[in-house]
Amino acid sequence: MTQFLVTTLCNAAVYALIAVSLNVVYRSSGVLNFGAGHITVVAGIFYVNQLDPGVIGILVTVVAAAATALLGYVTSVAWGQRRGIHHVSLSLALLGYGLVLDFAAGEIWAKEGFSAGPLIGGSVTIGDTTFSRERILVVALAAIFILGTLLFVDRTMAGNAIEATAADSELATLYGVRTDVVAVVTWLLAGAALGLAGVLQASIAAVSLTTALPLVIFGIAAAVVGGLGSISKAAAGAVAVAGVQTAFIQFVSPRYSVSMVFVLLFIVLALRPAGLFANARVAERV
Amino acid sequence: MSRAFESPRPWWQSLIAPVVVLIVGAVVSRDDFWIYLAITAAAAFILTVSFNLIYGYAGIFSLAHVAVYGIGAYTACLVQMNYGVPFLLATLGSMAFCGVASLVLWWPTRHLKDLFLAIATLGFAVTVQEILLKWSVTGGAEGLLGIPLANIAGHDFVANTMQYYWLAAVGAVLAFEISARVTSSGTGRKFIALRDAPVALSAVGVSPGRVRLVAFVIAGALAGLAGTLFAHQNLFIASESFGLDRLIVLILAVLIGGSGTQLGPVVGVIALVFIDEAGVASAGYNTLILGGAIILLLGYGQGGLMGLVERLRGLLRRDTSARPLPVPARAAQFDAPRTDATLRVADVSVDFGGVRALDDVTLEVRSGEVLGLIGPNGAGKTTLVNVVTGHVRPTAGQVSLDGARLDRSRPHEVAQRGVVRTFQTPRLLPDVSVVGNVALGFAGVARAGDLGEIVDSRRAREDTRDALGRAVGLLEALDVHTGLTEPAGSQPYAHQRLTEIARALATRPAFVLLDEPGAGLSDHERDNLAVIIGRLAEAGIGVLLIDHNVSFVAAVSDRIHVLDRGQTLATGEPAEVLERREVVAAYFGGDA
Repeated sequence: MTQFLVTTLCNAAVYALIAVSLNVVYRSSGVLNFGAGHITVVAGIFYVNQLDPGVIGILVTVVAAAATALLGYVTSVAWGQRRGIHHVSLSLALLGYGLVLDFAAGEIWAKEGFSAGPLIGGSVTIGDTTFSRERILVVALAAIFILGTLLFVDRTMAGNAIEATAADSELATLYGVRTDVVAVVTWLLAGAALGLAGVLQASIAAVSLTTALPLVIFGIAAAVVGGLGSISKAAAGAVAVAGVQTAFIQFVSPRYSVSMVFVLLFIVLALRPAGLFANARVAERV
Repeated sequence: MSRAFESPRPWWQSLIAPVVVLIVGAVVSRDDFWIYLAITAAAAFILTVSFNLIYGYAGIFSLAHVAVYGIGAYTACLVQMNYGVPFLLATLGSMAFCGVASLVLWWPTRHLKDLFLAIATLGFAVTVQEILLKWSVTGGAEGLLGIPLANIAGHDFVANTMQYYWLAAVGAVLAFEISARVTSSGTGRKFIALRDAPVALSAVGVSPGRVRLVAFVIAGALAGLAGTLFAHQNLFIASESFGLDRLIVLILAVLIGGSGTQLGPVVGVIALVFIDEAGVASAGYNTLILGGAIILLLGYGQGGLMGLVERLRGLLRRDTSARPLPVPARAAQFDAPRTDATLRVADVSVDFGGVRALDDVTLEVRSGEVLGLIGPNGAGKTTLVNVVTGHVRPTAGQVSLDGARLDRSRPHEVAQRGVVRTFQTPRLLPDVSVVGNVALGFAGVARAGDLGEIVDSRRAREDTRDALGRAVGLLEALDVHTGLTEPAGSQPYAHQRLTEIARALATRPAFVLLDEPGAGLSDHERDNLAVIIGRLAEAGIGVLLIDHNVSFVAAVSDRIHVLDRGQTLATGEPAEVLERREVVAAYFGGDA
């Protein structure tokens, strides 16, 4: 049971960071970043190959990922958004950006799996289960980042500007919010989350270009199961997705572990389109 | 852009596809490589046409389309290999199975909006991909080997020969014809409405969910055909042929040609074959090319090549009134089917979260009567209309039509029962002509079934001719004489209003709910509207009229009902109600 919890929480840490990143972008622009998995994986590969594991390495990776996400916004979304191109089209344009990153990473590094050394040594024993202390650190880092994001959005002026733009971008402009600056901050924040997710994924397992798509899909599943539009619900959704997936792998069969998540997603979308943890929907204006 | 269905399709257009296929056959027959390309193109064309139907026309962004195509390929091969089913039967079976698989895809996603639909269908695609890769029956990672040759009545169609080209060509012609017929029939009108203004569909009594279902099933069956032909061309299939890469190439093919156009897939499939071959030549750069193309076409693209052609044609065409009417006008008829009906709202309350938008409101409209509903901003007027038409569920109370409850029905069911509405801002299909927009209103009374419309039966053609003719008649009865064949989005605002009213009348309603029809009209146009509303009442239709212009409402209405902050303030004869102190106070302030 302890083993199950530890595995669930470790996977949830990665999914939650991706889900939070997707959420921040979706709320501010209605666009779903289908390229998030590629940014995550490339950040992980970058971390493993270029730097010593450690605080500096993590910080550099996070900054680089933030810049990569911003570049994605500039090249794939910004123009179309001003021209009123449909948000589904722009979401897929970001997948195109992911493919370009995939190509670049394949050229620079190899198309194989990469694994980072442990962040810290030592192990912990609870009952009769032993696991490395690194796993606790992984969960803690993700939790700190997500809490920090929540505090940032809730308690700072910059965060309020992001909220205001998400609620009504035109009105926010009228009140003097620089929505273009808000977009830049939003994408940097979203990219930073993906950078950390890449580092953690490389630490607990491995990163390779082929895992980009499954990762973004789990992230989307987490965000949708929790309810798109709220950071804390997305994190809760990540725990639900990781729990179902881990349970299925441990207790049923390691095959079809991706499909399981989607059966869950399908059921949630069919029964509660607004997400498991959402309130009753407010009626739309016709 | 969607001109095709605005006139019945001339018979000679059915000859185009066979002639093209014959010419291509004659050109490529000399060279094996060209034959191979032509077959690849024919199979890919069917897939592209099917995706163009579901995405380009109906606007359903199903990322599972390639997965359905894969299901088709595997199904046809597996029933042949494991059960000895003959090729033709296996092909039909696989098309049917893909139609059923599309139902599985449709049901959980039938109420989902664009992005969520994309997510759910992506999930389906990934699941299918994982099953194909890991299930022993589908050959797992090694793929499916030993697929038998296509064989009809003892005759083998050897892969990559001219014989096989003719087989694939028949499929391609079939797909083109089905697509052309579907899009020129009432179903095509419904697809475009589903894409551009789903709320307009339910407003004329058509269930958007059902239209989605038809799109899913047609596109699914065609994808199954494409999959079967693909499998028998290569005689080997593996899960990677049905993965994300293929999906991206397919999206590109539809977008390059221009989605939602009849010729778009032709252009697109040439590009698709080119991308494939270029991909073989430049193996390492495939992801870069695909990624770059996706960013360009989706992030910056506007309508693809056919969109460009349309825009050029629009620039060249100076004389905008020159387009003739597609069919002769038919006499307009909008007499109410019954003249003794009662629409009753009883003790209705609506809460939005903590806000009470309507508080215990009761009112009644009878056939042939105009009831004016007025009140300051935020009084709950539009909410009341939304409750009656099924867009908002009341928290308490009920709505009934001749004693039968209406408030548990979905919007399209309310419209079917003879209660239709217009919207505060007209919900028209901007790219479709004015006549085409009104013709949509006849969708609920078409005599041909879905199948009839798919094959464009004689009855479906008559429906189309009927609908267009009567639409012209209705518009002329409402004094709209110009710009009938022009895109509705380009028309003056007053004409858009009247077009929406004409569409509502096309359903032969017993009650019409007009939500601020006078907003944005000039005095002269509003006078004209007043005359029209009077004629609706004479025809026995009960009218619920919302407007801000009190004198306009007072002049037209038989009775007036005043709402303020969700509550009934007054009700009765116009002259008497407007004298009351509390009504004056609600509008101008002061003590009641």
